[in-house]
Amino acid sequence: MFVDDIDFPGMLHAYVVRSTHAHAKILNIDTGAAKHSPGVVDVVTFKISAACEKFPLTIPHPNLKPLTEFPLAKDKVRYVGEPVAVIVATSRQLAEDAAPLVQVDYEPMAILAWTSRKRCRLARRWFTKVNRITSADS
Amino acid sequence: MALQRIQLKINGRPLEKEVETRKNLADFLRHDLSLTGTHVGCEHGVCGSCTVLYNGEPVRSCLMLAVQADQAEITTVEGLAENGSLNSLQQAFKRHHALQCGFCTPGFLMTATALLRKTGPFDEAQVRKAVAGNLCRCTGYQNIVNAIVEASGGEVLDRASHQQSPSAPVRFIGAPVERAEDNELLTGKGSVRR
Repeated sequence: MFVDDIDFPGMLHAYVVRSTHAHAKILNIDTGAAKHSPGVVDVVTFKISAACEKFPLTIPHPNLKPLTEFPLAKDKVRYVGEPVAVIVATSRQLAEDAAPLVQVDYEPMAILAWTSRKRCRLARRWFTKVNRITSADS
Repeated sequence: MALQRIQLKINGRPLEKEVETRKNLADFLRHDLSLTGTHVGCEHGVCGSCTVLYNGEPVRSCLMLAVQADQAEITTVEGLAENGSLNSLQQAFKRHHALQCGFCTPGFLMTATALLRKTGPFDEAQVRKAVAGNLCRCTGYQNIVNAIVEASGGEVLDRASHQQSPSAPVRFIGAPVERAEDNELLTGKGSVRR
């Protein structure tokens, strides 16, 4: 009925490690210690899931240029809470235990927290590297 | 991983089980006992979806550790149906269309069950006060309140209420329709297990 009520044998739990910075380069992600934490089956980052492609545009349109995100942060984070790694473990609690063991080296970058037009244009470039947003799913 | 053995009664049945000491009561019910009728919404005591009865009193099962339920009597939504059929409160919910997605329903039912054990009937203001700690994101409060007022023996004043009159069946757009999923949602028996 509800997704959380579904229980198949061997199901695992996932916990998302999220960015603690509003804007920063990711220099390195060390998942070694987290992977050895009890109950942890895998720790997935962009590097490991390099085959991952950007999310598809759910409603494509011939006149719109697709502009979607990667499932996990690639080389930088653009907001606090952006998914950086996913811990897969045998229980939710054990996955959460391993979260502080994921070492992410950030190099903080300038933060935009204002809404003036000039700054919005700047922020747009940070996000997209294109000057005109035509279509985006988020 | 520290384990502790606890003894408790769940929906009238005695149970003895080893539980992780840090596990909350909601996770214990849902994951260890497969009683997924109790829903976990906010995980910090705000939404009321996880409400169960602890020795007859409504409590947030997400704010309690399972080990605190040692020697206690716990009632969940699965324990409300009587001999396999909906009890009077559940029937009132169904009649008044007091559930839409059904996620908050178990919490409302348990809070209302505790209220109905006190001497009624209750009017709308009293019921609203009693369920103030339960949130419904479908915002279907009026029908929930009507159902509880009726189950307490009170008079439902709301004219827009989905009450069917047996003598004159309503035939208009928006008339109450029996939904196939209502019984599962009201009894907490909607889980998928293989």
